[in-house]
Amino acid sequence: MKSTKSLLVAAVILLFIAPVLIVTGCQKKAETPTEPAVVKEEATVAPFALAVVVPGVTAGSPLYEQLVEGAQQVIDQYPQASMKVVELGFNQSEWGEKMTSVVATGRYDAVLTSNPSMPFVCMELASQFPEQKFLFVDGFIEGHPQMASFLYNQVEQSYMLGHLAGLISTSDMPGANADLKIGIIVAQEYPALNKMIVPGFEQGAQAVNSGITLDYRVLGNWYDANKAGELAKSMIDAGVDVIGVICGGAATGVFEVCADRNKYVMYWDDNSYAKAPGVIAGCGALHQKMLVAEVVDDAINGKVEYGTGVKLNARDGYIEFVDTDPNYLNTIPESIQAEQKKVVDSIMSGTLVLEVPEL
Amino acid sequence: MKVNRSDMFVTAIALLITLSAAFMVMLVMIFIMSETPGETLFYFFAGPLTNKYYLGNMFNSAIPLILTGLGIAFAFRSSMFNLGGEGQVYAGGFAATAVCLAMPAAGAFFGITVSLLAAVVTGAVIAGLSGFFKMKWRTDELISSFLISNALIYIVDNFITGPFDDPGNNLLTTSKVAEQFWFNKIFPPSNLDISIVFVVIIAILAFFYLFKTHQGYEMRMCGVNPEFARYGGINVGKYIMLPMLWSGALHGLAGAVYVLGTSHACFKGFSGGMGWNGIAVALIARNNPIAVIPAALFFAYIEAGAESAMINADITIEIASIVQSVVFFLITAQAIYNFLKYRRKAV
Repeated sequence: MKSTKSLLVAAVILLFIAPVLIVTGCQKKAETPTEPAVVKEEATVAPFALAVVVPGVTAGSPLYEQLVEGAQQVIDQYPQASMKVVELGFNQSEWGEKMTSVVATGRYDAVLTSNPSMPFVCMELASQFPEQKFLFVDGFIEGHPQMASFLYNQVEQSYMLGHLAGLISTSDMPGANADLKIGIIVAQEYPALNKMIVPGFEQGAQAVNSGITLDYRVLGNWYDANKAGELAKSMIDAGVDVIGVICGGAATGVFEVCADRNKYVMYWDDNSYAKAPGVIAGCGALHQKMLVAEVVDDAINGKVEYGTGVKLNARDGYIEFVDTDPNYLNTIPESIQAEQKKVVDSIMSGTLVLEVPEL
Repeated sequence: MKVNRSDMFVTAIALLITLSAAFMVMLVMIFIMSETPGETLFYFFAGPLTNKYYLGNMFNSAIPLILTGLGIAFAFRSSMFNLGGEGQVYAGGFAATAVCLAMPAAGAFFGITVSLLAAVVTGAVIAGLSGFFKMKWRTDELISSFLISNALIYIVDNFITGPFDDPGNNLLTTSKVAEQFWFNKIFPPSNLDISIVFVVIIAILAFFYLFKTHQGYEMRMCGVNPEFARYGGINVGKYIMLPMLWSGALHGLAGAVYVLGTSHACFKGFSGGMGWNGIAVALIARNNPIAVIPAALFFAYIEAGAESAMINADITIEIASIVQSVVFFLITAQAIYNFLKYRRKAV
């Protein structure tokens, strides 16, 4: 009976402390002083609320970090503008419901998100909320009156990386062999990958030598580094000497295997040479922060043309091949750097035109 | 059997302390993580009840939890442990999807019935294997159900991202099943569908089966004391297999109900947490099928509250997982304590 009394006392204490905490919690914490933002003096626009929806989590994803930073940078310039970042997590089956929850609040003038899958996720709910506007970067949809999208020409980025892969594979760099095989490990298949990234990568390599073949493997997720490493081993055993990675965090497994076997990696969307110096031989980069800042600024000022899908090229300044990083300069011989520069320059100048296919 | 009122009182108080402690952890987390704790707390507690959309979705997310909670309650009532819920839900959902995709032009009633049956059979066979191994070779079902489930998750993953992948949509999922197979929504604009009615009926039927039928009595007797049951002429081997079959069937059904009612396609990893939370739900409900309903609603409320606070205030959705984990650990610890106490008494 004594133990029963003790349990009862403990329960009562807990139940009494909880409301006290709730009440004290209702008092707002003191505002932390922050750096004053550069406020646009000429800004005479209507109040604007933006929801930045991250399909996953922001931390650890360079593109999502740029998404949030780019939006925040502009929001800070407009006193009447505000933004809220919502992370959808990794369970894709819940994305639609969570996105609907955000839109159902009715608080946001626009929802900004980034991922090729998001137009698909938002299609159904857009009809339920006809007033809601959507902005997609790194995604494509055209002709929907509530949506504006901005798609990077991934054919160009992939072509540049494929071209470097071809140059390395046909060179006498350590680890390169005479098998004329390059590879790519992807987390999953999706239209932008099937129609832009993989064909662009292959075309770039075959521009160096038409006999080069592509070993294509699907990992099935974005996180399993061990499985990615096993795939890389199997590809290297089959004669592959350069591997492209579109598999998120799982790429670390490929870096380790390639470091052990003296092979090379091509990396998309971000300057990541420092993640595996000497192994990552080529990086493409998307200037997402710049794009997002422009898009948000236009949205605040009512300049976004909804219903349009804009395709962005390297010559517009949103895509680049990173050839100034010391790790690139130290890893790649000067002769190959020169060959690569010719192709990059021809794409940047518009001499070599690589069209975005119908998605 | 005479009910000991003092034991019941202690049990109720212990449950109250457990849930209070979990909420205390949540409060501390909110005070640490949130810049506006008052607002966050408001949305956490009141958010799920503020509009039809959130309220309906809260009930909707309780549906699979009721089924998995019932599945676990069936197993626990017979002293069987089914730790393979995650895989059984996943495989059940996938089986239902595959059946629907295989006959896109079938009638709604026929298609739904066959796909639900496929899910039930799939779940039952998977869990039944562990029961069979135990009956035949005394293999510990706690280990075998967990291992079989884990292996199955990878197999289903492989199907979803391989032959069943829909390359037209950028997501890790199968194609959507034909619209005639979708469960009717009953509380728009939320996702709450008609299956909640059937799930409540299933819980009531499960209660009557366990407590008002001869077979249910025998099953419970085997759980309370197998030696006594054997001495009394009960076929104990049968009640190693049967509860696992029921348990797996209910888990499989949970997967199918989620696919046909909510997601309409089999997404990679959709079952994450449904199996484990089912264990916590059953333990909170003390393996009583009727009590599983409020226990599942409690879990769904925590999740809906965290989602509401995430969207309207400044915390991340992980806080729901943290609270659910704390509930899970405390409830499990309490269950283990009770189990050990029971064994000590028995000796």
